[in-house]
Amino acid sequence: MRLGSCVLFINNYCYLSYKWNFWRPLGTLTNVLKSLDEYEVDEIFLLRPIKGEDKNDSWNRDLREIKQIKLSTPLSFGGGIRSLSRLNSLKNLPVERLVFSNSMINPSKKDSILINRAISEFGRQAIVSLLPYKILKDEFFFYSSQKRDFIKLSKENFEIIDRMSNEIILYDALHEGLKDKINLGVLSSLEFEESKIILSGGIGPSSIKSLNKNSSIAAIYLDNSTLFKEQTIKKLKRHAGLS
Amino acid sequence: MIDIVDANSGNIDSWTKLLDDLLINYKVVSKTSEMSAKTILLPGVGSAGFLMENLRIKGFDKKIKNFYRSGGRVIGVCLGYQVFTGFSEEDGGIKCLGLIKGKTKKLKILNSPVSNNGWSNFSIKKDKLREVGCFSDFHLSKKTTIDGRVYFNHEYGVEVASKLGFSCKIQKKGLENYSAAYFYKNLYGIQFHPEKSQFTGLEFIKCIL
Repeated sequence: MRLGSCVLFINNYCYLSYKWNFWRPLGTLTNVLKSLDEYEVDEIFLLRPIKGEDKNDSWNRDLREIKQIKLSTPLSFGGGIRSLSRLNSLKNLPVERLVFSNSMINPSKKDSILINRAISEFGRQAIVSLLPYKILKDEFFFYSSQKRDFIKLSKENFEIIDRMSNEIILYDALHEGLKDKINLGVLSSLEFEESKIILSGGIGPSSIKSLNKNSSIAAIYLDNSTLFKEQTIKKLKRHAGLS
Repeated sequence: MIDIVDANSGNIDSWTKLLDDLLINYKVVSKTSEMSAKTILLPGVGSAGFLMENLRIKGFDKKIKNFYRSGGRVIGVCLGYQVFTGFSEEDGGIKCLGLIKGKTKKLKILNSPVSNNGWSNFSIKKDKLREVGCFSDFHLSKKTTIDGRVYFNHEYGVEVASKLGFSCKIQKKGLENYSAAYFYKNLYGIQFHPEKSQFTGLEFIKCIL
């Protein structure tokens, strides 16, 4: 099991996010990534938290910033990869994997073309799905930025996501930023192969211990706490059986 | 000087930043006429079909083969290493450069397809590289052994059939038949991403360059 970190980045600044709706400024991208690189987390997921319209100005500005970074840790990037021209603009960035959310949830013909092009140009191993979810009355709802709301997905949707993705990030939207609040029942409720799953949102020491012992998931992405306590990473790596 | 081949497929930016830090001169080449260095670096992200098509369109395939045969040093990373073989199963079967006797096959454990994402142990001794005729050009490190963890991200892997040279296995249960790296004289194939393998990756790059 890998231990990574999820970093929210938009308009040239990084943020902490709590319970999906509350943000606090965290710092510049360079400083945040430098810290994570020094802590030797296994990978970093850089997420532009786009919950609706995404203007090209903002996209271009963020990409310019990402191009500047120096990093010796694997980097995944997502949030706003919605067209072939945007996909093209990702070439030669220091990014190993691409994360799609909206294009994977109920994909249109245009989305399918986009994902297939990404597979061809970046490789299937580089394609990751992000499914921000919340559970209401034992039912799962997934965030669609196109609809700007959480929606239910059909069996067919899940099959497409499974087929197109090398790995799938299940992001507990309502528990992000909270310690050990993630509902681990998500693993048995959704029919994805465990070895393809990355969990994020509401992760803490107890959930890491439990996941390390009882599951075969691919990775865990820590959220907010990562950058506050330097010792955290070492301690959590022990819980994950990594050191 | 190193020529980094830009075949529209590859994480070139990570390499240029790293080489900048190591104070190594390089040139990103998108035409064969621009090539002039003693070492070629072929990074690779994408699918074998896409990369090989781009190499052929730009004439890099013949140029790399001739360069290698004339003694020039060729380094391939990840997909760049996979296309060193004669054939890749990816994209329905693709003819590749044929610099190594072997094939690139879908990763399988007990006949089930898998992908290899994450970190595995890797170790190599400099003496072993010298034995197969691989020498550092830039002399950046005096280390005799590289030992640590390195980052893999791939769904296809190289099965080396050649008895020449030296191939390191992927140190992960079930994937031992696939090569983590291969070295023979002026040919260096690396399946993992040393440029994204933190301290060990950096030490390894310093050791081989």
